[in-house]
Amino acid sequence: MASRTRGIDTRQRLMKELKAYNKEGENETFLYLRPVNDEDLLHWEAVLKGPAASPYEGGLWGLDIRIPSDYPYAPPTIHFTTKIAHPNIAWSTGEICSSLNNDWKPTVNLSGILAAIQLLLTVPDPDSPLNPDIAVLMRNGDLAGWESVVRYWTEEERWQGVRW
Amino acid sequence: MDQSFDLPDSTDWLETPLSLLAPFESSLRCQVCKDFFDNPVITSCSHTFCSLCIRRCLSTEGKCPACRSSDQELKLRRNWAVQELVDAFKLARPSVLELARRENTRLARGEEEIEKPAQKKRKVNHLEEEELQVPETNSQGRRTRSQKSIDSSARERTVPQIVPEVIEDSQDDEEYIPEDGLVACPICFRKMKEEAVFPHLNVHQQEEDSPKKTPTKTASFGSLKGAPQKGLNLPSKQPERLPAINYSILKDNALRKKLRDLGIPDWGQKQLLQRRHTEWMNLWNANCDSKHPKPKRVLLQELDIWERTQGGHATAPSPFTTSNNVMRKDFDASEWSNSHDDDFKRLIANARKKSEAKARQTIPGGCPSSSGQKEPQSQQGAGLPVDGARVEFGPDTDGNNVIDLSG
Repeated sequence: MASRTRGIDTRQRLMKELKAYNKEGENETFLYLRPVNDEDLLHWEAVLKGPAASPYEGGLWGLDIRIPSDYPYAPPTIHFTTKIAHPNIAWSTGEICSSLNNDWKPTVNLSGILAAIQLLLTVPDPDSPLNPDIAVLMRNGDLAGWESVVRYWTEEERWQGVRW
Repeated sequence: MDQSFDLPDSTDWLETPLSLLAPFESSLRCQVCKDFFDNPVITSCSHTFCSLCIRRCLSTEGKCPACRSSDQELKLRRNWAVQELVDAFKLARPSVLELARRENTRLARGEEEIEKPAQKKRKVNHLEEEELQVPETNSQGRRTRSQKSIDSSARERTVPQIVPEVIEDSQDDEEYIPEDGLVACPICFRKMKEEAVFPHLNVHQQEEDSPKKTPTKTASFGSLKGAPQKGLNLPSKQPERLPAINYSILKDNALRKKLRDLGIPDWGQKQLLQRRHTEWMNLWNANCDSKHPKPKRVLLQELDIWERTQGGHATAPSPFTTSNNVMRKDFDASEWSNSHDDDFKRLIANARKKSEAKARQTIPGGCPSSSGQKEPQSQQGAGLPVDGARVEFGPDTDGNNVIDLSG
């Protein structure tokens, strides 16, 4: 105990997180959350569930998660691999609004970040858009139009793939 | 060696009858590294972390990782009460967990009897009692270092209190609650309100620190320079803390010399030199918070690991690639990697099986690929539908801790 070597904390923490997700039952946030393959502990993938009582309800989106080697002191980089219509998420690249990283805290888990992303779906901010086309609908007050566009793409692009 | 094969963590309790111990254990773990607190220190905002974890956070960001309020390394104070809690729990953990698991299999076999659990409990107590004798004497020894005078009567008074407190269950716990609602300071044994203890501990800390700090302040650079030459064995007394450096006022070569004087590698660009110095300072100062400081040799090994994973030798982004480098060296991290590679792969395999099963449930189309023959396994991977399986613990799942995205 006294001579435990530190410095491989990133691995260890990720393994603990993985172990916890393995034990966790069904949840409202993600379908799964796991490393992409056996070889790289710093590359994860997840499938996010659409938040209930929102136009995104019932949706599923793939996420690509890149974890820096100094995690958890630095935040992971996450982008959508399934297209999503949201003012703060880029349509073509899946890039997520950077406020996610600005508020990073090392105590947050990967599952915590997914929860935060899910929350972002319910509280879009049209004033700093990565997807201007969707943002403009909101800004013009066309909430019905926005909702139907979102519902359409949520259904249309729904994550289907089981890629293994 | 403390990390056995199955990577202990708080979720281990979830599948036992003692699932309520999961949040308990979780609260004995650092929310940054998810491991048991290692040399816990408390911040100005009253959050506790491993000394090394919080030092790394503060040197990157200057903010508390729990509440994001600003804090400084210098304000960190050791939290020895938590250290003792952790030490005691770690000792008891294996036997309690084993009993809980055995009970679990027994329950699974349907041999539930009302008298059995009671008998069990008594066994747990005996086990713990035996093991706890050891740390008890230790902690006494440690305590005496930090205090100048304990009157022996005070010591006698506390020892018998402590032992039953840890060992016996609920009945005695109730008995232990002090009638006057006051608790004794672990250092001077003065009674005070519970919430006054931590602020009060700072007084002792300052008493302890101040005589050291003032005389050495001007000489600290000089004496540090001398340190590496004295040899690898640090004196058994508390090593001296390293001061922070304002890197911007140092030229490359001056910084390089500083690293050389500290006895750590001095190659690389200035930015790498800075990062290496910061990491060394964090490792070193965290070690100063330990009751049993490691020798400098061990810290150098830790710095070496840092160099491979995040410093100048970190080439590949994958810890698996880098761990191959680690394995060539002869410190126990290599064993760790070796034995845990399998572990990790097993975890991933479980995760995959489980998510496969979930995906199949959720997606009506099912799973088109070749995983048909894995059917029975995937059931296993899904985990036991135990009572406690939904217990949410730790601040991670806490509403307060979800990142605010509204900005």
